[in-house]
Amino acid sequence: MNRMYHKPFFDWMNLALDAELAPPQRAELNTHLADCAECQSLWEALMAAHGLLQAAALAQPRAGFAGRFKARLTQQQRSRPRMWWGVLALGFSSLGAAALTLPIGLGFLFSAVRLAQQPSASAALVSGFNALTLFAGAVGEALLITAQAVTVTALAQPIVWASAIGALLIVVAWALTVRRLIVGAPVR
Amino acid sequence: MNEPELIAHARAGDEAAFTELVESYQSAIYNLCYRMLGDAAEAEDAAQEAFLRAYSRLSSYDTTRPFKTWLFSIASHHSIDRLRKRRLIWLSIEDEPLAPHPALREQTPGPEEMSVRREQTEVVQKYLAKLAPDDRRVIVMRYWHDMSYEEIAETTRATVSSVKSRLHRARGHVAEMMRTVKANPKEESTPRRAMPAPVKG
Repeated sequence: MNRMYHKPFFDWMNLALDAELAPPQRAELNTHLADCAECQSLWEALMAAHGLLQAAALAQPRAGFAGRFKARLTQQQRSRPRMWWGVLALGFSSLGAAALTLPIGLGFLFSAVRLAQQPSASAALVSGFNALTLFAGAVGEALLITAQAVTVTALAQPIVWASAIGALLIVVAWALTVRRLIVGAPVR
Repeated sequence: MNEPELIAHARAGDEAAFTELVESYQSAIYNLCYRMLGDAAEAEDAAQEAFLRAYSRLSSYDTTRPFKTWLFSIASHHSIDRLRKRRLIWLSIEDEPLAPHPALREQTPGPEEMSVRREQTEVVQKYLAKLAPDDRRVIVMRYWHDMSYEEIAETTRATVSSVKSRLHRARGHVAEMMRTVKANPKEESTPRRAMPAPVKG
């Protein structure tokens, strides 16, 4: 039998189960079911499924659901201020990390530029490069010379000092915030 | 207080009013989560979470819409989100074993009826677990909560024709699974989507 022929009947069977099928279509469906064994078998299977689902009971929560909800709501509301402190601590941490990284990075960059402008330091770097390629022992010496030059230059820059002090203040504020979070009243 | 009054009080921050609403809808929301997730403990957590979300979003609730539909929408979307997360972990939610609900076991009076009901619950949950989450949601809303096509469409943010199509397909799939089990009683499970369209064409 042409399967296309059955399609509307499958929809009609479902509509009939949902009490949404108009009487003329219902009559037509009944006529078809009487003639078509395949659809009759499907109709019986659908009715069985419908019956099983209809008979299934409503699952109930354990007693005291509303009480547990109330406790959870209270807990959520108590933890809200702590959440704000957490956000604040995270903000301070990020600022602290940036404040620590920025002056070091800037200082290094600034010093590197200065270093490049100083013939002795450039020579040290070149010497270091040569040493690296030629003698492993000379590498340490070249790095030492470079590090000294970087330190001297960095210490001479006021911006590096100002940034370091700013970073220190932020770190202290962050530590105090974290301490307040840890020492603060625990949430039950 | 009636429901609109309770909602108005809850929106004004009255927790007690909202707790009354929780009491009214706890069974419906819990059942929806349980039928969707198939696990009593997870259903409890999901239902609680759905109510918490509803409470925090009360200001966005459109009072011209039925409260039940709005609540069901939050709970069903939350359940589907959980299923998706679970799927990421287990890859397949279809093979997940679903335990019968303890409350359903406790409700039964006699041992014989208890056994029959337990068996029925297990069977129903097994079939539900084999449906796609969106199809399962439509079946649960239709059969356990007597929602109309229109109400389901509003809750799931779908069209009525898509709801009909999902419901018909899901019911057809359950029917086919039942038929397969009847034909092979020893066979516990059937491949997913054994019946994408029961009578094609």
